[in-house]
Amino acid sequence: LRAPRIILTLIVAILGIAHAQTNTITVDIGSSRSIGGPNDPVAAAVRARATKIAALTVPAKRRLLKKHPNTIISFPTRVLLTRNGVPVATRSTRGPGQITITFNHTAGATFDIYPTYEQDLTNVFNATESEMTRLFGAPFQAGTILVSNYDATIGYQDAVAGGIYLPNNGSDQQEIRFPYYFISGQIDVDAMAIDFIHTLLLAYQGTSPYAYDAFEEGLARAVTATIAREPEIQTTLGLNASTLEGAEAVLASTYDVYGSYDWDNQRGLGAPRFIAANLIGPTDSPAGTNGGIYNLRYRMAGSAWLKVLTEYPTFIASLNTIVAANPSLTSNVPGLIAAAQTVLNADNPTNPTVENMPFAQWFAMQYILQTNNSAGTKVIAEVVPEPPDPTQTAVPDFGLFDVETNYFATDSSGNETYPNPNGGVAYPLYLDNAYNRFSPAAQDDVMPFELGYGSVTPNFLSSYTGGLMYRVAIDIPVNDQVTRIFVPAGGVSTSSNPTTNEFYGTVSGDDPPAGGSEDVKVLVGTDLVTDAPVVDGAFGVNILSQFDLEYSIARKIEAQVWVTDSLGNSTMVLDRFVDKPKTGSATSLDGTQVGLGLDLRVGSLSGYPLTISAGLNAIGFPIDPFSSDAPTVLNVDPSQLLVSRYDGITGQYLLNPSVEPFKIGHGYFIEVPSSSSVTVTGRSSATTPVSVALEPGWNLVGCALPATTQGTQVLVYDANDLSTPLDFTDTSSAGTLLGNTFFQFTPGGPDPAAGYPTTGSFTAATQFVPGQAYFVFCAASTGVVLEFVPSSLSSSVKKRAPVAPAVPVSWQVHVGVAGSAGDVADCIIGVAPGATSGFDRALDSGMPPSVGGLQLVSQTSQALYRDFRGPSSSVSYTLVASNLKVGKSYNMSFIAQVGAALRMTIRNQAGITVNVQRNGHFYFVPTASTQTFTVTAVGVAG
Amino acid sequence: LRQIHFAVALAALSVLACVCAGCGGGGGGSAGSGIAITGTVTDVVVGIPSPVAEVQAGATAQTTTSTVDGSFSLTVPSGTTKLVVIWESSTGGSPVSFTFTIPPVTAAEDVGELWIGPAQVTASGTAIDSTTQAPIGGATVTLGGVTGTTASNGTFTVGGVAYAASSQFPNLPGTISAPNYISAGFEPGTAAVTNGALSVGEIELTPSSSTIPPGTPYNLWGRVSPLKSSPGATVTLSLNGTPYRTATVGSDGTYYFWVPAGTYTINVVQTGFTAPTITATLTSTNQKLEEDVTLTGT
Repeated sequence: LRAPRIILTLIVAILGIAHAQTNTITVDIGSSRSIGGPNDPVAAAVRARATKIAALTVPAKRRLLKKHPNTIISFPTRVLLTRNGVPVATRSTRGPGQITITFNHTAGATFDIYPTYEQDLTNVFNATESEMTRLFGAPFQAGTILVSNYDATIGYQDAVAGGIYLPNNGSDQQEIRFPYYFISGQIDVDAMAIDFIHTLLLAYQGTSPYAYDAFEEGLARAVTATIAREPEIQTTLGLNASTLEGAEAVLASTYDVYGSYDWDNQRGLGAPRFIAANLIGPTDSPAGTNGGIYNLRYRMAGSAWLKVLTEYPTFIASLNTIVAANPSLTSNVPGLIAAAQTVLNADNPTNPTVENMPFAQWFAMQYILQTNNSAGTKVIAEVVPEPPDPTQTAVPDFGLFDVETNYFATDSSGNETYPNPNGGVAYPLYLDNAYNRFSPAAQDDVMPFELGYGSVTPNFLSSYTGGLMYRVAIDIPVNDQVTRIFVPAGGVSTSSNPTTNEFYGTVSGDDPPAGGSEDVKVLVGTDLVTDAPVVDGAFGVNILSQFDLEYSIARKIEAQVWVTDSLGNSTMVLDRFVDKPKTGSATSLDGTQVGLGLDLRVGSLSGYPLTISAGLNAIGFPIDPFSSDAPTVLNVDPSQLLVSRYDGITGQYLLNPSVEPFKIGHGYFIEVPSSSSVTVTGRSSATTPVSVALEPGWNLVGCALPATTQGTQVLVYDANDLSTPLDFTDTSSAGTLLGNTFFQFTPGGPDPAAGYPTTGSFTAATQFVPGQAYFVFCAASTGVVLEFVPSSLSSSVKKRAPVAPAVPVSWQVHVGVAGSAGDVADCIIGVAPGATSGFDRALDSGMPPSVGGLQLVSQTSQALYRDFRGPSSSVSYTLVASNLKVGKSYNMSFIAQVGAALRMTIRNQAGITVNVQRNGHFYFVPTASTQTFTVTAVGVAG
Repeated sequence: LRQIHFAVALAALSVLACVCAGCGGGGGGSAGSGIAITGTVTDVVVGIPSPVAEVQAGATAQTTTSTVDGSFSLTVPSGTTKLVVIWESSTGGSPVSFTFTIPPVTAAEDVGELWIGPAQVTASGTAIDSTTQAPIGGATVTLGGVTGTTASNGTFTVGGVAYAASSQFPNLPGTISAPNYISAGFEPGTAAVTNGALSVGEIELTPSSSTIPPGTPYNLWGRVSPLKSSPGATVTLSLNGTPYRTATVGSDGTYYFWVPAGTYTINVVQTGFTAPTITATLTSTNQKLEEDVTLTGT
C-alpha cells in the first residue's frame, strides 16, 4: 500500500504546465537524460491524468453502453518534455515526410510477454499507413519512431491510459509508448489496433496540435474510426474476429454517437477543452461528478467530423496540410473556418457545402465544435432508446427512453463544477404532439440529482394514442435552464416490431392541415429509398428492401418533409441533407441494429433583427442563437460590451464573462456605447411552443416568440400540479405561483458624461414584446415553467378556463408623473374588500428600487407599485417621487380605472392641500430630488 | 410499466466487501426490520471511494459502497440520526471516520451525498439576507453532508467536513435553507484552510416572499457618508481624466456604476462639502468593487 503513495507524490513533483488540449500534457524531467525505468515520470504523469479522465468518462460509458461492459477504452496522449522548465526542442531540420517505426528492445521497454505483439503493431502500421496519410495528411515530422512498452494500468477494468506520443523523448528521438491490451485471457486486437492508429495520428500531427479539443480530439477520432471501419483493414488486422466485443464497441465507447447526433447536439457541449482544467489538473480532482458529459463530448466530436468525411473523404488531410504550412491557424478559429471552406471549394466547386450549407453556417450549428468558453449553468440530456419487451402484447410496448441528464456550471475560467439543482430535483415535462402535458408514470415526473446527475426512463404507452406512434417533447428544467428533446414514441421499435427501425425521428414546427397528411421522403441520390408517414409528429420505418444495400452504404441522404392537404396538393416544407453513419458497419449502443434518429424542425432556422440602443438595454431573444459568444451574437467589440443576468436564487447579478450564452426566452441587461442593428442567427420558434424555466425569486424573462405575446398565450406549469395548466394572466392574478405584476425596463435620460442612458425605470408590463426583457417573480419554491405558445397553436393547447380575480377591486386610480425631459413613472392605488394596509400578494406589487431614473411609489413598509387598502370612508396613500430634477416642471396625472371617489385631495411636502378632479392633473416644481405627497380618497368604502 | 433504475442496477453489480462492527446511531434494533435508506459516499480526492467505504448506522446496520458510483443502500432502525462512514485509502494511512447527523429516519429516503477525505476541517460562515444584509438565524447549513444551524447573529460552524490539502474543495457542495428564504447552494472553492479551520464567508439568501424586483447591474459602488448629508450628491467617474459616467447618491447614501474593466477616478460633489478623489481599478467586468467616500464640511 505504500508504493502508490510514493508515486503520487512523485506525480505532483514532476508534472509541469498542463497543455491546452485534453490529449497533450507537459512533463518536466529535471536534469534527467533518461526517462525510462520503473519510476518513469512520463508514464506516471500519463497514468495520473488518465485516471482522472477515466473517472469522468467510464461511469457514463457504463450507463450508456450496458451491452459493452468490458470494452477497453483509452486516452492517447501527447507528452511534451521540459528540463527544469525549458522545453526539450525537437529537431527543426526534419520536415513533413514519411515515418517509420522501430521497436525498443531495452530491458523494461520490450513487448516480450506476448511475442506476437510487435508483429501485431507492425501490421497495424503497415496496413494503415497509406490511409492515415491519405485521410490525415503527411506526417508533420518525418523520421523513425521508437515504439516502447509501458504499463498503462490505471485501476479500471475497462480503461487504460493508452498510447503516448513523445515528439522528443529526451534523446532527440520520437517515441511511442504503448501498452498491452489484454482482456479475458486474450489480446484485445480491436482496442489495440484502434488505440495504436489514434496514437500514430498524434505522431502524424507532431508538435503542432490544434489549440481546441473540438479539432484536436475530433479530427483524430473521425479518421481513426474511418480507418478502423474499412473492410480491407478489418480483414487484414483481424478486427471483429475474436470472441470479444469488436471494433464497433470500442468506437461506440469514445469515438461516435452514430444516429443520435441530432438528439445530442446541445449547447452545453461546446468548450475550448473537453475536460475542464480543474478536473484533470495536477492538484485538482474529478470528485463531485457522476461522469459528466465528457464521454459524450468525445463521441460527438468524432461524429461531427465524420459527417464532413462522408462528403469530403480527404477533408481532414487537406485541412491539416493547410495548418501544417501555417501553424498559427491551430488557434485561429475564423482562420480554420476559412481554411475549411477553401478545402470544400477545391473538392466540390459546384456545391462547396456540408449538409448543403456553407461551412461557416454548418460549423455554427454543431455545438460540440464551439470553441469559446461559455460560462453559466448548463443542462444536457442524452436520450437512448431501450428495446421494447416483446411479451408486452396486450398493451403493445413502445419501448423506453433512457434520459440521462447532467447539470453543471462553468466559470469564466472554464472550470466546471457539478452543483445539484434547487431542492436536489428537477421536474421533467412531457408534452404530446399537440403540446399538451401528460404524465407517463408518477416516478417519471421527478428527477432526483446527485453530483449533478439525474435520470428517468419514461415509458410512453401505446394506449395513449390507441397504438399509433406519436411525438413527445421532453423538457427538462433545472433551475433556470431547460433543454428539450423530441422523441418518437413507438417510432424506434415496438413489441410487435422489436427490431430497431432503420430510420426514425420527429417532425415539429408544421402540422398537416385537417384532412391532410405529412410524410418524410428519404432519397439517396435520386432514389426514393423510403417514404415514412408522419403520425402525430413521429415516424419510424425501415428502408425499402430493394434499397437496403444502397442505403446502408450511403453516407449522405436527403430527408424531405412533405405536407399534403385534403385535396391532395403536396408541398415540400423542409429539405435537409444528412451525413449519416454507414449503418452496415455499426451495431449501435445496445448491440442491436443501429438506426438513424432525426429531429426535423420545419422553419426553425432563421435570423432575428435585434435593435440595440446606445446605453443600458434590457434585451431578450425570440431565437436561440447558435453562437455562444455574446460579442459575436451582438457584433460588438468585446471590450465595450457589458452583459448581465439576474439569478433569483442567489439574489445577485452575474456579470460577463460569468454570464451564460444568450438563450431563447431569457432576459439580459446589456450596455453598449453605440446604437446598432444586428441579425441574430439561430433556431426560432414561430410555430413551436418554447419552454422557459423560472427559478424561485425574480427572473429576467425575454419574449420567446417572434411576435408580441399576450399573457393568455403563456402557460404556467407547476411541478406540484399535473392538471391542466393556467395561463400567465390567471396565475399572475392569483398571485400564488407568480407575482402580481411583471415589469419592463425603460431607459432614463442620457448620462451627462456618457451621452446615453445608464439608468432607467421599471414600469408595469402587460405583454411580452420580442427583443425586450421583463422581471417576473416566481413564488413557487420548486420553480415553474412558462410555455410560450404561438397564437397558431393557442386553441389546440389545453388550459384551464380563466379564473375569477381573487379579490374584486372596488376603486382603482392610475397615478402618473411626467417630467419636461420626457421621463415618466407611475403607480396604482386602490381599494378592495379584504385588502390590508400591508402587502397583499393577490393585489399588491412591489416596485423595483430607484436606479437613477424617475420613480413613483406608494410608500408603506415597502415601496409598492400597486397599493390596495381595505374599504374605508377615507383612505390616504403616501406617494414618493424620486430622482426629480430640481426646478423643473412635473405633471402628476390621476386616471380613474375602477369606481369613483366622492373626493380626492393631494397634499405636498409644504403642507398645501388641493382637490384633484376625476382624471385630473397636479403640477409641481420640486425643490429637492425627492418629494413626498399624501393622496387622500374619501367615499371609497366599496 | 417498466422502469430502469441505473443506480440500483449498477449497485447490484458491485462487489460488497467486508462488514464490520458498527457504532453511533440513533437507536438499536434489528436492521432487518428497519427502514431502507440510500445515499452516496464521495471522496474529495478521487470521487468514488476505492476501495469501498463502510457505512454504519447503530450497532448492527452496516454496508459498503458501490465500486461503480459510491452509492449505498442500508436498512437502519427507525429514528436513526447518525451515519458513520469509515474508509481506508489505497494509498495508505490510518482509516478515516466521518460522522453525519441526519434528521430522524422515519421513512425510506435518500440521505444524499456524504463526503469523505484524508482530513477534516471545521467550516464557519455567516448567513445574511441579500436584500437587507441582515443576519439570518435558524438557517440549516449542510456542507459535504455535514449539517449545522446558524445562530441568531447568522453565524454557523460545522465540524468534520471532508478536506484534502491536495485538491482542496473542488466540488464540495454546500446548501443553506431557512424558513421564508429561497434555498441556495454554495461552494468553498479554493478558500484557504488555516489550522484546520475554513471560513466560507457570507452566504446570501433571498427572501422567498420578496416583492421587490432587483435594481440594475453594477460592479463599482460605494457609500458616501455621512448619510445625513450625502443623498443627492453627484458622483463623477472619470477614465483617463475624462468624465465617463455620473451618478446621484441615493437616499441610502449609495452610488452604483456598471462599467468595463479599467482604472477610474471617483469624485463626489456636494454643496458645502469636499471629498477626496479616489482611484479605483476594476480588473475584470465581473469584479465587484466597493469604494466608500467620506464628505468633509467646508
